Amino acid sequence: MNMSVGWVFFYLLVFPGFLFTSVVGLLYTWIDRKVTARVQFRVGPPLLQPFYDFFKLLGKDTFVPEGAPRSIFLGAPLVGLASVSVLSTVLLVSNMFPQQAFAGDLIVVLYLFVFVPIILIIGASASSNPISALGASREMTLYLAYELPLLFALATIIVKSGGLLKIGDLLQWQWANHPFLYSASGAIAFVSAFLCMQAKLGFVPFDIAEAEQEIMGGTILEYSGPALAVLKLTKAMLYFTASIFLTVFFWGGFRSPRQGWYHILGWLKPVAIIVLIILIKNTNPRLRIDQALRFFWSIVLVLSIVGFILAAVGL
Amino acid sequence: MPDEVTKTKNLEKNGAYIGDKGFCHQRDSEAEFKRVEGQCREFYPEGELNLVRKRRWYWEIAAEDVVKVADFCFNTLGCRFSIATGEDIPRGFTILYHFSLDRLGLLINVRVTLPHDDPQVDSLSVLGRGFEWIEREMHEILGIGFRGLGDTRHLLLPDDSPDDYHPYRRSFG
Amino acid sequence: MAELERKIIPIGPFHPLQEEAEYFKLTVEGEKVVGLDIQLGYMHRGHEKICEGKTYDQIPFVVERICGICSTSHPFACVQAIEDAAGIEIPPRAAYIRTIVGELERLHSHLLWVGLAGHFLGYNTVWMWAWKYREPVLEMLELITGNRNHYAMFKPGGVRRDIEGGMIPPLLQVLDAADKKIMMLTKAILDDPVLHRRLEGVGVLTKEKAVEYSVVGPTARASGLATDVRKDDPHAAYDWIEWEEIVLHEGDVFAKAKVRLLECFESTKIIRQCLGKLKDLPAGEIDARMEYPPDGKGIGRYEAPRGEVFHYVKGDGSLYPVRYKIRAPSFMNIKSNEVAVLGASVADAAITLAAVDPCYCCTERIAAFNTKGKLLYTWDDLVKLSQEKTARMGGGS
Repeated sequence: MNMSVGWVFFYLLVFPGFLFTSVVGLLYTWIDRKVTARVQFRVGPPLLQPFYDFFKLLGKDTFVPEGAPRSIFLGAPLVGLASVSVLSTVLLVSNMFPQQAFAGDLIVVLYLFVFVPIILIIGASASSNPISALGASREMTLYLAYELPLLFALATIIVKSGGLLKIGDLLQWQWANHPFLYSASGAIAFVSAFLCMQAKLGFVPFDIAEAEQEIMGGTILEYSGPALAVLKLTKAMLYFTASIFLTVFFWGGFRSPRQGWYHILGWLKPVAIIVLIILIKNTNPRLRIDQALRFFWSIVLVLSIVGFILAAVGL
Repeated sequence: MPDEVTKTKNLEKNGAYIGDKGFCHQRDSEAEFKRVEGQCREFYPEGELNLVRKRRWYWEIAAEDVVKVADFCFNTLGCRFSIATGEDIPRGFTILYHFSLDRLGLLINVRVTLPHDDPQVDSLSVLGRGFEWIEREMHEILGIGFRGLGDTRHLLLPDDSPDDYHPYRRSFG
Repeated sequence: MAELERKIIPIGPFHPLQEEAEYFKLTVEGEKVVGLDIQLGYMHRGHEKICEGKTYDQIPFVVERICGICSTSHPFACVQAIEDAAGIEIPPRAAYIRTIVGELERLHSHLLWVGLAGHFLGYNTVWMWAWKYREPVLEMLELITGNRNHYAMFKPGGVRRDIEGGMIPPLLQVLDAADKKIMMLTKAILDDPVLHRRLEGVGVLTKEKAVEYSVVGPTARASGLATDVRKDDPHAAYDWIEWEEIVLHEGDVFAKAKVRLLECFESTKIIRQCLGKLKDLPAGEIDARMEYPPDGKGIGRYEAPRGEVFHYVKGDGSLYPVRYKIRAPSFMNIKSNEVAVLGASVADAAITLAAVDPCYCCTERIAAFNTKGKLLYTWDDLVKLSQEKTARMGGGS
């Protein structure tokens, strides 16, 4: 770990941290909107539309509802933004320099992932709006639903790799052997982690906490102007980070030791994952919160435990 | 008032809502029309039943018997309550309760007339909650009092419009 | 278990999705709906009163503007009320054309609802697809009437435009194409396992409650009440052709969706038969003359896509009616939400409230007021305002 402070800041703020992640994240939302539009016989927005939307929101007024603690209400999105920036930095840096990983970065990644639902819950609760509170309670339920299967999915690959706890080590194991996805236990773990990510991103069929048609945005209902822009950006960055997460842990990362075209193909892996996410999003109605809870705790949890057992017996 | 169970039984007995593929359409059976007419006349001989057209009957009744007659139409005959029309005419307010006997396609329009100075009539909301809104509407636009109507808030007018303001009242001179 | 705190979740006064003004006040305990209060009154335009100031020829155009979606159902019921009062028989050609326009409207309205229902569930693909497949129907309407909406086809005594022989083959072609698309959409929706789980048993309106609330249309037919004015009270050409009335017994949102989807096929069946009969009819009168304005009462009923539209007209022999009463189907149906949403979760409430296919502007039709309760604008004022604006615009150019 011989990184100078300057490099750390560069990693965090420019590449692959905040700036890079936000640009790619916004481009991801464009892919999302474009693919959705094509599925629905529409034309879809131009490439830069997410950027226009973001900058337009920056120029609007921020409205803090009466009775809401200002610092918590406005601080929550910033904390979220910071945590997602760090998250993507950790994931991408360990992919670029697998040997530089620090012990326990896996745990850090997990903790940072928890931040996003938590800041949404805090912000919504601070807004003193009953509908936001409903959204917050749904977000919390959803978080409880998907977190356990996600942990089991990660445990599966750790067991599979023989107890490696560093992201870099896990990557190197995959490069040396095969991506976890290509084994029975890894594939099962991937499926359950994938579904958890769909829920974490708050996409149909799990967009229950925001459900604009029922609770009008729920957790983000009271946000406006730059605060909303920050939240939207956080979500866009999370979009990118989630696909990177799945790629790194299950699909051997987007960068492989093999040279040439594999580099470019590797970068397409996260894109393939989000296209899959978008297709699921567009071919399903929203579930009810109790249905989502039952889905994760019965089907997905059982699935990930089966994967875990398979990994333990070496499949 | 008949309870839930007997109400359904009444409906079934009268052939109102039976069967999977629609119900037994006795729509064009003259005998059935005659039978219903007989039932009406027998139940309330004081009323004046005008068979204006084959499927449009008008039945003039006394205002105090409205619940009795409506109960007969709604529960015994198995009619659906279509709507009620309130109107301000020179000799008072009239309310036309339109009951639709779907198996015959027959509309029985029960008409009551109320005096201008104290328009009061029993509420039909005891028969079913479907009657509430239209009574609230007539209450606010015509100022007719419905005895027994629990909820008399404004339905269509703004909440703060005065209680003595009735836009559908007319002045005859 | 501790008593949960009761909160009010408002849906409205401006609905986030239906873009219409109404106010559903949901009382909830956590996610469970324990009470519903429906407040109307945000959409008054005073149609009943306006109609009393219009001649019998003008009224169909006024009532057409009650609702943009059932813009044929209201004139349909209206002209029948006037014909009932005046005692006119319409020529058969006009009856067929009326039936065709009415059924085309049902098709487009049902597809519109299916799309909206998809949107309510966050299933935007269904929304977009249903609305895309609604386009050919609107094209047919444009072909027949000249308008995609507000068709201005009906007049007391008949219709205003004929469907000529040459128009029938292209119409049949579009109809066949639309039929295939709707079949595909119907299959996709009825076979979707997630939709089944999401909609079955949700927002159940039992038969007893349906009777108590006197609901009409698909809402009633999904709860096992076989009520359809087209079958019951013969009018137009509905008695001369073969079609089925769709009745289901579950009473949940899925049954309501199914009734509507299956009715689409009955509609195409009706249109196809009508076009066939129209081809065989000799060209002739499409409208019967109304010799004298009606003196007396008349009632017209039509089965709009949402249920029975009821128009009552009372004339005194003058050119203007004395009383004009309009009852849109949603007036009966929306009220039944009181029981349908009880005990449901907030997530189910949104779709349940939408399942009756509510049409708020139909439900409210009375007068324009300011908050002091005085008439803000009379009809003449509105006309004057509009004329002044036109004059200003003309003067400015």
